[in-house]
Amino acid sequence: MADGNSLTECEPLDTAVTLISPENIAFRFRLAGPAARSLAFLLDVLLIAAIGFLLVMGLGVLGFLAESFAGLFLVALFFLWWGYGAAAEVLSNGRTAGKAVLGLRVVSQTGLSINPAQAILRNLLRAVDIAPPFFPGLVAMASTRRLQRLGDLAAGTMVVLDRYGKPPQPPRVDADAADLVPRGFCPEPRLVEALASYVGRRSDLSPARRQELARIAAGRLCAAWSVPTPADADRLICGLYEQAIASNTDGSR
Amino acid sequence: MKVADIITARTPDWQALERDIAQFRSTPSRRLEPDHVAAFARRYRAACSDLALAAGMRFPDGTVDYLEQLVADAHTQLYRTESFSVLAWLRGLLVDVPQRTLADPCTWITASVFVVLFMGGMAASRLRPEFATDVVGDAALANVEAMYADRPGSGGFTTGRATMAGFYVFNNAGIGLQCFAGGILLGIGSLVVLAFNGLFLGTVFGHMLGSPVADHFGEFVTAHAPFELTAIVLSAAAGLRLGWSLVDTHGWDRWESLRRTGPAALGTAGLATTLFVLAAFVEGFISPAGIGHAPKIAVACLCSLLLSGYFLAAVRSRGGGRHAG
Repeated sequence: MADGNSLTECEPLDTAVTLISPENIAFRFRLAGPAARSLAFLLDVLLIAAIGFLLVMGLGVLGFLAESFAGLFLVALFFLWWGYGAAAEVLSNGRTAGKAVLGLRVVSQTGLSINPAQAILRNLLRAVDIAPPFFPGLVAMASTRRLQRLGDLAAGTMVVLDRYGKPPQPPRVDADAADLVPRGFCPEPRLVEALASYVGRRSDLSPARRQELARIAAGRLCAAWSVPTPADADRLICGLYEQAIASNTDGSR
Repeated sequence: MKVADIITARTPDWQALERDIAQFRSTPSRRLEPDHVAAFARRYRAACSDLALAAGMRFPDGTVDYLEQLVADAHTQLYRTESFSVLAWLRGLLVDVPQRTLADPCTWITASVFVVLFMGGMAASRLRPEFATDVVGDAALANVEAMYADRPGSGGFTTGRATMAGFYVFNNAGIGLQCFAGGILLGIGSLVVLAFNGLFLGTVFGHMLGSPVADHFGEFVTAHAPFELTAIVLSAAAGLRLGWSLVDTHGWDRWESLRRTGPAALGTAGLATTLFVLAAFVEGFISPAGIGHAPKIAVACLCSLLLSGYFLAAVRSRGGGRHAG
């Protein structure tokens, strides 16, 4: 039986939050740190400034409502400044333009998308979070586990990384290596983890480097089994990995 | 079964789920095809079991990371909270918000603080003229007097009414929202802004009532006073509500208590902002108009009636007027 609980048994010291879905599956959200979030906010401010500038230019060039132009502009600026973040987060699923550029997304602490009340509350409270000289938002982010600023704490939201990795490449093993694997090979979980880690990364390595790394592990394993180390150590490690998974899958079925 | 075979076999399904997520993100629930949603849910459950398998069987590192992201995003889309309805929103605006605002001791605390400081400032600057100089400063006082040197409707008041209305929205409603937001610092931020405004306005009032341009000043401030003063008090009340939830947690942990109070406080803050915007338009268009003092008093009475009616109707709709006593 595989060691399936290791994900939840001890939470790694990491900027990630593990949630359990109703399907009883544990999955992780990777949290966004203060640097990325400040940068996203800066981009949003620049966007608001750009929109304001275009408004001034546009209304000015048109000479439209010349008398009340400044008033309209100020009302627009008010709603942009206080409302842009909330509106964008509601309409495009937790991302303002700045967050989209940096690959961030606001989600509820429970892992759901945020609702309008949460979006409005966290964006209003930003006024306090960015207030000098103490920047309460930074202090709060530094001292909460989910890196939440005060607005996030009140609204029950968190900002997570939303960068898609590539779909995983299936580990390619060039030749069947079953002949190299000793009969009855049944490794302990930590060894399987190490094997998986190697197999997952070997496609990024040059053939010579693969052999160099694989020989370290193969040398120790073969010494323990008192057999000579094969010339193609990479093939041995891949074979061991396949065998380990096969015995695992068979055991659990 | 080889790992490579499992991953190769499952990849098309994962990519289909990725496409679903991208599409669901930009589509409201009601516009999604039922069959599509069912297929999405099926793929999500399949991805969940793939993740369990991958984590349990030690699939290569990238696989688990990828599936975690996939499952997390699909989960966010599957259990979405899209409950916005116009009816619920109207009910909140017309019934829940005024009821909660009236039932909340914070409203009465901030109202008392404001009235006491306002009256105190006014009395002090009437009794002792130097008081206004000490609190507000000579330059600011001269500034205010210059602003009201002309009767409303003439001279400095004739141009740029829309501009002024826009400025009042930007400035006053902005201060109101800051006052609310400051409340999260245990309510202190809200109380400071409220106290400052109460004392400042009271002192200026007292000073101006004793100045040669008292008539102009009185005529200008009448019309928008009911909405604006109520809005200040309500902003601070919403902020205090938010901050107090960190002190009196009703047995929850502090952040949970804050989260539970958020929506109620937000409703009151929204009401305050609406009042600020309304007041800004009255202040921009009616207050400086050259229509004489009487119509402005009428506007002030109308605004007060509207406000009282709004709160009274909400209390009534609970069927008993609990706050009559």
